[in-house]
Amino acid sequence: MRTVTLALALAWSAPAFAEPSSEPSSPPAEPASDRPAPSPPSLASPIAIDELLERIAHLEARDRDHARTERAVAATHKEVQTLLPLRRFITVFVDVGAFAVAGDGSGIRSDRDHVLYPEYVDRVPGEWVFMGDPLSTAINSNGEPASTSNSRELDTDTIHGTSGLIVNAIGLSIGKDVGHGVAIASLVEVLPRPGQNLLDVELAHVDYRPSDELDLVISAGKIDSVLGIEYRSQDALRRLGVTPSLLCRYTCGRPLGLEARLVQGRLSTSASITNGDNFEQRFTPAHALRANALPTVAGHVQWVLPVGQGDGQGVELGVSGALGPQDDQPMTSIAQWHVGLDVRVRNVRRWNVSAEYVQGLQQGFTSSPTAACNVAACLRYKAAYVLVDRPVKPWFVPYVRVDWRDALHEHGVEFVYESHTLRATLGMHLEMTSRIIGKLEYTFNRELGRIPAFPNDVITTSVVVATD
Amino acid sequence: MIVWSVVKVGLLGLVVSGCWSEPGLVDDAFTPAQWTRLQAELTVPALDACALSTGTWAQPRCDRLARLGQQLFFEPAFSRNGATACVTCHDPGRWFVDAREDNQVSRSVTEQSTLGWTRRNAISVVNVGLTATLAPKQQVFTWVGKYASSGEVLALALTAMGQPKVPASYASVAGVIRNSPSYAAQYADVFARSSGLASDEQVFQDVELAFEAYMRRLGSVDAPFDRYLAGDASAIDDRARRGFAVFVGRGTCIECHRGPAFTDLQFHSTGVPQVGHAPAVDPGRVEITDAPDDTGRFRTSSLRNIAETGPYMHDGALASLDDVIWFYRRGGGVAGYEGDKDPRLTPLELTDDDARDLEAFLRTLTGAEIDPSLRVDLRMPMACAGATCAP
Repeated sequence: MRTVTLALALAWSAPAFAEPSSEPSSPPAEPASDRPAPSPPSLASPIAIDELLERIAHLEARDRDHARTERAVAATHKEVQTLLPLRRFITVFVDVGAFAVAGDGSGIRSDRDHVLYPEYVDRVPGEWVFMGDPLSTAINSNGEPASTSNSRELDTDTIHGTSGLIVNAIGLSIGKDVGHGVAIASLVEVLPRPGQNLLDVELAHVDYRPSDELDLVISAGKIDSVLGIEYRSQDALRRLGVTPSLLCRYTCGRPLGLEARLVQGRLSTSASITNGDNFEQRFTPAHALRANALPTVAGHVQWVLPVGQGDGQGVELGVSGALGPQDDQPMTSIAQWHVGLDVRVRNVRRWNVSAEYVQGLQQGFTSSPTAACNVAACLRYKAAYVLVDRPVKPWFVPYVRVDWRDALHEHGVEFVYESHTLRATLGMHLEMTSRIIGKLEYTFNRELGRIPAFPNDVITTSVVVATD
Repeated sequence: MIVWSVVKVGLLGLVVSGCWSEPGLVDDAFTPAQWTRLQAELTVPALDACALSTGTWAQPRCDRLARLGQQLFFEPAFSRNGATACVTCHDPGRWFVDAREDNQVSRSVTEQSTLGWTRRNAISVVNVGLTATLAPKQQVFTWVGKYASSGEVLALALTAMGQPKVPASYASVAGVIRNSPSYAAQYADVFARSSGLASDEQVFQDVELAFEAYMRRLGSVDAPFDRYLAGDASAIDDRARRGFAVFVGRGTCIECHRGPAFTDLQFHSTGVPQVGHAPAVDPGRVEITDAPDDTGRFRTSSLRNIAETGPYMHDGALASLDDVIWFYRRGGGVAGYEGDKDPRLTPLELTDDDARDLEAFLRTLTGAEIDPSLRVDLRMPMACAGATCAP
């Protein structure tokens, strides 16, 4: 090594040695082709040995620097290789959109002076007799309405406007198999909102697969609901459209509890035992932890009919239900129950259809002869939707959804919500790339029964950009 | 083709924009149906000052009866101390409310015939005719609904003035009429009978009727708000209009202050703390009904002329409209009252602007001042009582 270094040093230093002698006796310029081959440096030149040794030492120092740099590069490369798998279990997405909602941005109006619901005179102030659906003007996948207006039960007005641009969510999704059949999953969303940014831990659970031969997963933590089918695609990344259906509030919750999912052939079953109901909790964050003495049990059974043999083809029929003590009430004996039916037709002649029907009751509790449900709110509801889509191109999917909700929610003199709403949503889903999805939809909101028509149609868009 | 496409887009735009605007809201607050309902509910009905509780009186005689009542309204001879009349607490110069001292509660006469304090604030007698028309023969008079006509209140007044309503009081009242040649003459003229021949109770009841006839004339219902309600949009300003929307809407005031008199004539507990010089507690309407649920309940006050008839609440605990609005913004009282507060009283989400708008609206409920001729003392000096001094 030292020899090579010495040779290189000599070669590099040769011109320097030649310069003093050649410069004064430089001949006139001649054609290059006629130039004689350069002669080797003359060892007879007067070179100071000390200078040569100094140059050798300098070169050796640079060689050490080079080696050191090579080691650093190798270490960095190794570190990068170690971190690269993160890309496979971390997904970051940003959901931005623009929206406009008719009227005052809310889906409710007060029955001022008890014009339409006189039965509530002397029971509930007319201002607090709400007609319509407070979530019918949802503008994003979170289901946030553009405005909650003067609503009293649903009073978290996160957007409070009728139109504008919005960052719907910044999401961080983590899913990682940690070995021995154990995996972790979480979804955290940041919702930048005027005045109050929200940090929402949507999912945080540990999954355990006890056997490779049995398709059984047991989960614990903040888990998905097991009711119906819409919860499976409720986040912006997965949702076909922009907004949830009117019944998602009852089935898309993510309660704390235990859950088991088992798939055996054409039969899928899932069951959960949770702190409280499976209602969407986004709008009642204070109640995320339920103080019920007994848990809520829920289950879903689904059967896949042998329709079609193509990729992803099939017809799925499901039934689900939940039973438990009503949340936020003084006695465990006050019950709530929920039943639902769901159907999904997948890729039959390129058509996809999803449909659900749910019905439920929260009994509530009354201690006053004049104010119904004054101790615990009463809720009875029925809701359904049908969602149809057919891909025109792999990247372009138009869709239509019709949903309906009929509900009565009352709580003493605090409020009554008379919700009788029919909606139709037209939309299109554009997968610009595998990481960029655009959606546009228009929702016609119509009130039924005694509720007069009022403007609350919604046009909203969403662009979701995600990492792999 | 392009033109047709543009037309179609334009039509679609028209359809969409039509669906997007709030259709025909009145003052940006009420649907046409709500406005129609409010007009029907709040418009003052035709009032007949001579439609008394005992029947409708013919005009000339009715006028003479009211004139007698006006004199008696100023007459202190009914009181035990001989110094207190109706006008003592119902000052004609102050919209017939008690405007003395610190106005916490009304002064009165104790059984010891010395000036003392009642535990309740004197209600203005302006528009009692409207109340009687809205709730004929119903026990809606006084804070606790003890009487069915404004004339019957004489009994309460006598009690407050130191005279219990017992036969002895009948004799006392009848004596005032009989002992005054002027009153006796007017009595005979109006009732076509001699007070000397009528029983004490009969004369007492006739005096009640005279009071009623007078007080029914103390009407003031042509307020700016009434003109606004009838269609004169310029009758009240924007702030008051917004205040009316708050009154009906977020303020939920109309839940109890409804109807042409802006009172449901019902009895509620709003948690008003008992203040003043009187006993520390006031059981309220339970005194009348003996129903425990009525403990602490008092009649909803009319809001007509409210800006002029403070202090407010049954004991005059609140001095200004601003105080009243703040009281309700907090959800009513929190301590110092009897019974259970109406559960509808919960803190209101009103802004300071809402409160100012609401007060502006309340000030539009002030009607024209009472005819001055109804606010003067028409009594004859006792010295010249008699035919020669007859008015």
